[in-house]
Amino acid sequence: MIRRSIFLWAFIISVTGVSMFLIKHEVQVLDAKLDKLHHDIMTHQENILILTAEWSYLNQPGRIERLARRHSDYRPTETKQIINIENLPYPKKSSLVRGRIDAD
Amino acid sequence: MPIKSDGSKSQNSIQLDGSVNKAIEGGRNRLLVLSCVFCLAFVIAGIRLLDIAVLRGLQEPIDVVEPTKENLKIGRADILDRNGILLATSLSVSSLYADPQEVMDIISTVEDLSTVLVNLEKEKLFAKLNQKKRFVWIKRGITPMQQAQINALGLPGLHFQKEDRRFYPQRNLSAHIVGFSGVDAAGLAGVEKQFDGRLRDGAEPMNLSIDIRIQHILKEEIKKQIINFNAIGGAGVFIDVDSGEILGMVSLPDFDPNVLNSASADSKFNRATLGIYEMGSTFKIFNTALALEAGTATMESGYDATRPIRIARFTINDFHPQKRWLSVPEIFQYSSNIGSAKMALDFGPKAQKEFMKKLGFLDRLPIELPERGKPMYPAPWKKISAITISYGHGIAISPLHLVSGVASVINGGIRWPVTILKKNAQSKMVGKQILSLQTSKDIRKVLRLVVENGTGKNAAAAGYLVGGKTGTADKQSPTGSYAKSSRLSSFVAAFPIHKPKYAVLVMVDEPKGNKKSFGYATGGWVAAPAVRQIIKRSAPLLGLLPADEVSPQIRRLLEIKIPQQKRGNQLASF
Repeated sequence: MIRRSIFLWAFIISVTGVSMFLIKHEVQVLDAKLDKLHHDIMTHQENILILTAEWSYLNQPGRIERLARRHSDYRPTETKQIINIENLPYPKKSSLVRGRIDAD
Repeated sequence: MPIKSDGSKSQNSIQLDGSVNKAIEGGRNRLLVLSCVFCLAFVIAGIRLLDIAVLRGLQEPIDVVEPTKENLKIGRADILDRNGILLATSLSVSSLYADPQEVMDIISTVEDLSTVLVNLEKEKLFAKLNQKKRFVWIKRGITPMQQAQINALGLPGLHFQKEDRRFYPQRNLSAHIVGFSGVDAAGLAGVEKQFDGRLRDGAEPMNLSIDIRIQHILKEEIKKQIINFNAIGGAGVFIDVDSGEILGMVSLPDFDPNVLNSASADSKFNRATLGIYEMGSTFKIFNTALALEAGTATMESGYDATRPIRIARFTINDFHPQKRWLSVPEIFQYSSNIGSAKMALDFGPKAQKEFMKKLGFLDRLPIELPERGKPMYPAPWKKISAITISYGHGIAISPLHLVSGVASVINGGIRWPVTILKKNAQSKMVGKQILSLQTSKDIRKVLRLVVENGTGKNAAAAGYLVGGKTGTADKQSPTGSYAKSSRLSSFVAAFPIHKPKYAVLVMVDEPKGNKKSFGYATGGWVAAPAVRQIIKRSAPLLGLLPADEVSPQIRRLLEIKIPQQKRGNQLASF
């Protein structure tokens, strides 16, 4: 009886020991992975900072204007190109009515 | 153990029993104590187990602190414009330093380094490496490429350190506002200095009220006029009249904060906020406003501007002399010094000083920049001061003061403190009513008159209803006399003038007349065209639709009936 329980205990202990070792190992691997990820995040974050700075540098209004003048036919909108929708010349109502009659 | 009843033996056995008993007793006691200790230990362990397993819930112990956005951000906080465009950021760069004690061969180290780092001062470095120190900087802020090359040289005693470096992607464009910081990331000018503490420990970027596109337009157009008129400098301000937010503010010449070494002191000087100038005729806006507010003049009254005024040793004359009786709107339209002086004499120096105080012209502006000019004004404020101040001489203020004053006069009479920080819905706004709405409306009318039919015709940007006032001030030479050749030409405008939203000031320092301007270098010729261009280009960006300038609604708002000369005052000839 005593012997049997000793075996049982020994079995339980060894199973626990082995599984603990395995889990610990797994955690270590994950930890290293996490470390690397953190490091990568840092590097990417730094790269993003550099890229945003460069993006802003390349988007200086003066530079964009220079490039637009050289490579594009678009020019700033003139005031006369903007018109209010109410001021758009619509065909007169009477002509519309007549049009309908003609169609009939 | 059996106890013997035998008397003779009992003595012995008791003795024996006693000694055995003693040992057994001792052993028992020890066992008891030990088991107690063990029991206690198990109980404690059990309690702890219960505590961790049951009482703490099923939480995992938190060992790893996840890097958040805050602790990933390096160094100083970013500075952004109102639309989130980057104006200043911190990048991490490598700096090269040496431990002279570890350097083996100084001469070859210097020689090898000079192949990678051009412009290296060899003698200086040699002297540095000969010191008995353990740390000397060789070069701060080197490129990743240089770092790789130096590593490849394999020289002992050289080390790198990561450092924060401030980078200004917009270069010259916002230099005077954003300012700059030194090598050790301490703010030395502008916003960088003013908000040094906030930028140091804040991860949240700072939003300025500046719009980089407007800033660009402002700079371009003023620069054009500086070149056209061979001027020494200029300044410009663009503000929202209903909030006091500065959308654009430039001072020319400017500098690149990324390469401070090559920037001259003159280019670092902020003419818009630190420079103080006698602004000239643009002051007639305030003169007229005060006369109307005080009731000493009305839109229907007028003054005789036939002859120059002689007072003390001064003669006050007109630049565009009409030599007749002028109504108040006409005095403004033709920028008559004589008429303005007479208006000022009617309300007097005391009222004038009070009004200047209300406009904030006697104190430094409460702008969030360390570069703030202190105005200069006469003390005591005499009658002659009142006369000269009526047309903008004898008092010196910064260009930003002027725009801020104009904004409060035309926006319905409320003075908002000017700011370079972006306001949001939560921002508390504390404005002060300094003029009545009616006076404000009258001033809008006369400003429109100047652009429609006065000295400011060149500022008319069709569709945007520009109203404004020219100013041409003779600059005082260091000896105190006024030189006709060195002038300050300015134009201050608001648009759309029937319902003002924005105010613009353009000031050009010491322009010289050219052929195109028929030799003139006045505000109407130098600054007004720049204002027209600025408004024409920026209004679509700000979402302003061009209005029909001759529509009856607008006409009614801006209509002025120029009163005819009063009977009895009629002059025989002029």
